[in-house]
Amino acid sequence: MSDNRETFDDSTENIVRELRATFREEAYELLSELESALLELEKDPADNQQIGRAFRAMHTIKGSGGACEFHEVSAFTHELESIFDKVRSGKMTASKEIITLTLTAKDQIEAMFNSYYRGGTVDPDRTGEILASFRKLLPGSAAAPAKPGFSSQPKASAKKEEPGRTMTYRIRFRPVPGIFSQGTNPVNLLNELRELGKCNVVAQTEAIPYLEDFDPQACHTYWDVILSTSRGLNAIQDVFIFVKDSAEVKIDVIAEGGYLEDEKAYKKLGEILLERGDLSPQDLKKVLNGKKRVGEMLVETGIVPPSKVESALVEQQHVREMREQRQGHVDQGSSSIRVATSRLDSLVNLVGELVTVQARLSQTALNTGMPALVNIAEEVERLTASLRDNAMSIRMLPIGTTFSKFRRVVRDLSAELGKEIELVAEGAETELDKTVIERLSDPLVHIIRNSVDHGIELPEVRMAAGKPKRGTITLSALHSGAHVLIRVQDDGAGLDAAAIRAKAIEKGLIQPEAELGESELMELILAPGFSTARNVTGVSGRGVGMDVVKRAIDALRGTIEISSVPGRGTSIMLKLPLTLAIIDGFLTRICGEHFIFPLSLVQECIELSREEALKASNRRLANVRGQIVPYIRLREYFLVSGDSPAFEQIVIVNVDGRRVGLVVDTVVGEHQTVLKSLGKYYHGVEGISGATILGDGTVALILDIPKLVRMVEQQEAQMTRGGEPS
Amino acid sequence: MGTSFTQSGNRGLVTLDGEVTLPHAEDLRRALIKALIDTDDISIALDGMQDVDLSCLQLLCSAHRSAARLKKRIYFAGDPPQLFKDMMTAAGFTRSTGCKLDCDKSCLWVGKGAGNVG
Repeated sequence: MSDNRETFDDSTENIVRELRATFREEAYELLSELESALLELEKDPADNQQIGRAFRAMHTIKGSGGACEFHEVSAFTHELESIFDKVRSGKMTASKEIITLTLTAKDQIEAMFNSYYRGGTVDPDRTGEILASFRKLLPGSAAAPAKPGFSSQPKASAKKEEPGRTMTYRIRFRPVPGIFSQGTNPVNLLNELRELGKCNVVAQTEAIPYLEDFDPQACHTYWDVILSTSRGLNAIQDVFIFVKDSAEVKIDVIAEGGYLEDEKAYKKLGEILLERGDLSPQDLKKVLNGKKRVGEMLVETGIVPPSKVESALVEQQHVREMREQRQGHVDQGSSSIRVATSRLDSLVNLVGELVTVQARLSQTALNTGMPALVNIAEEVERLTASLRDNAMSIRMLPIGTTFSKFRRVVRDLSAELGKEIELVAEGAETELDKTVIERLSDPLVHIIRNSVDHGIELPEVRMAAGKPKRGTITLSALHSGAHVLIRVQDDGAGLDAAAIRAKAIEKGLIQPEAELGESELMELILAPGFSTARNVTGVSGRGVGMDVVKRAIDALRGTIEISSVPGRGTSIMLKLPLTLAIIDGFLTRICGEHFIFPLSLVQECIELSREEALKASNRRLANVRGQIVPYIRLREYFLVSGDSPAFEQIVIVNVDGRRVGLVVDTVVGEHQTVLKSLGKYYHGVEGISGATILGDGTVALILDIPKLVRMVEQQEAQMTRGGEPS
Repeated sequence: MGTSFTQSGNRGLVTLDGEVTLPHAEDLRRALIKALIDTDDISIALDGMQDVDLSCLQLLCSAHRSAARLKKRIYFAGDPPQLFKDMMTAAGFTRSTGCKLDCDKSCLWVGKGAGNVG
């Protein structure tokens, strides 16, 4: 017996774990939806659409959170929702205070989810504090604290309820006559039920007395509701949680998704009325003997009032429609499914392996020279390419999913600094690899914080400069070939070139007499330890800003371009690859060793004869159509043994806007490169970002060009300093 | 709210203006009783209505039942405003057959509103 119980408990735990894993993405999406709705609502506090959007997000967090046994989240959100309901019903306005508090509450819910999903911590006292702050804002003392549980337990249904599955419930809601005086409007509760799913409501009015006996302050009506929802019994009970002492609520499951598909017909009218207790078996027997339809007979004989017959007919029709709809869904198949990210990652890994094996197959087939095998290899190559593109597209997400986070940053910081700033987002639908989006979020937050803090001026300063009081930060994203361009543009004061120059000289980043172009000067702000903010604020200006951004963007193999017009604003453009898993590479060889350049950086290749190389001796400068290009000999850098050929190749790449050459023996050509990490022992190796496996099974190293160039420059600078006469 | 009752011979007109909600329900009840006592054929004008709640629907239902018992008629003057129909739907009052007292098939809730699907 105890064994059985253990098995049962384990399986329940497993179900909850699985449910929570499935809910993970949705939970964060809902929070983002809530945040986004609140920020929109702040712009127009009377926007009912946004109020509804925020309310729905809360409602789903509560319902789904409850189904996944996040009881703390469910209870907290329930309170939040009941307070927000006052906004929805127009009893309170969505003031700035309410929105700020609701945003704080959203953060608290996020912390609760994080404590499970991301190993964070949650301050339980904060929950109480937030609710207390809310209550202070409520008109009167309308907010009763929520109590968990539901005392008038509905009769448990015979059918098993499963979270996430659509079930059809029959609800009889019979409020006490005095419910109006308690401040409850039963119609609002019916509307809440409607939000849970497809809902049919029939008012039972037979108890309404004649005018002379009518008490206008009393509720004389009760309701039969047929509701199909996937939100579970708890969500329904929650609707009635505040009226549990002033209403009789009976909830029965009458149909469930899946199990009864083969049953074409639903219960007969008589059965429904019997089940509801509206008809006795004896009376049913009596009317069944008649020739007319049961409903008509029941009404004619006065055994059952017409409204009850109508309600039963509505139930019949509702269940039939739900079944047809479900059947339709089964036929069509569902349009989307939710998949754990880890599964996608493993799919992409497998596709990567397949691409590698396919390259080997193609090469082996060519070597054997068997036409039939070559044909098959070509077919496999074609299929692999389309499989790879498909797998990659699955990982793509619209960048707009992170935009609400930025709106929040702008809102909170501008309030803190007393500035008025609007964030305009463009191209939210632009798709980018999920990993890139995740790793892009922090650098973007940093750039936006900088714009808010240093870029946009205070309202009075702006007005004095003849600008609109309200500053604008535009965040835009668009595709450009295999890249995504993300631009953060503000209409603030612009970068102060003189201040940057002075600071760079002070920090020893440039010599006082150095002549720098505009973009070079601007890029100095990306140097480590650079900050021109006169005061260190809590927002930014601690001198650890933009170099962190630069490093993060470098790690994504992206580039940063900065342009600024004094008094008009600054624009920071990030250029990022669409994906990190497979890149277009440029394969080269030095003796037997293979090296891959990211193709996006390669500009051209030129020959370097042994004579030229000797002539240049230690200067390592090539003359490319009159332009001097410095180069690095990779053979020496990587200590590759053997003699160099008579004609080497200089691969000219673009590093931070400069042309730099890298010398290799031979150029093989373009190569679809599946990135593999080097393993933990090689993490510290600089100048190499990973490796890939070539068609013949050999390993090729993927060069981290910007880092490699920087390292060589640093080495040379050290050597120059070391070589100076003391 | 302004509930007014005007009489023309055997016919009465009850006009409901402004907020027809719980605080004004007693006024409405009195007006309907007077109309039922003084006339046999009562129309109810809802065009000037600005807000309505469940209390009004219950009262009208009660008035209709009272009229049916007295063999008098009570009906809406014209198509009810959308606001009213929305409340009928929200409160689940719309239906396809009247109650057992509705012998002359004049139920106020039959064939109006947007059905009972939410």
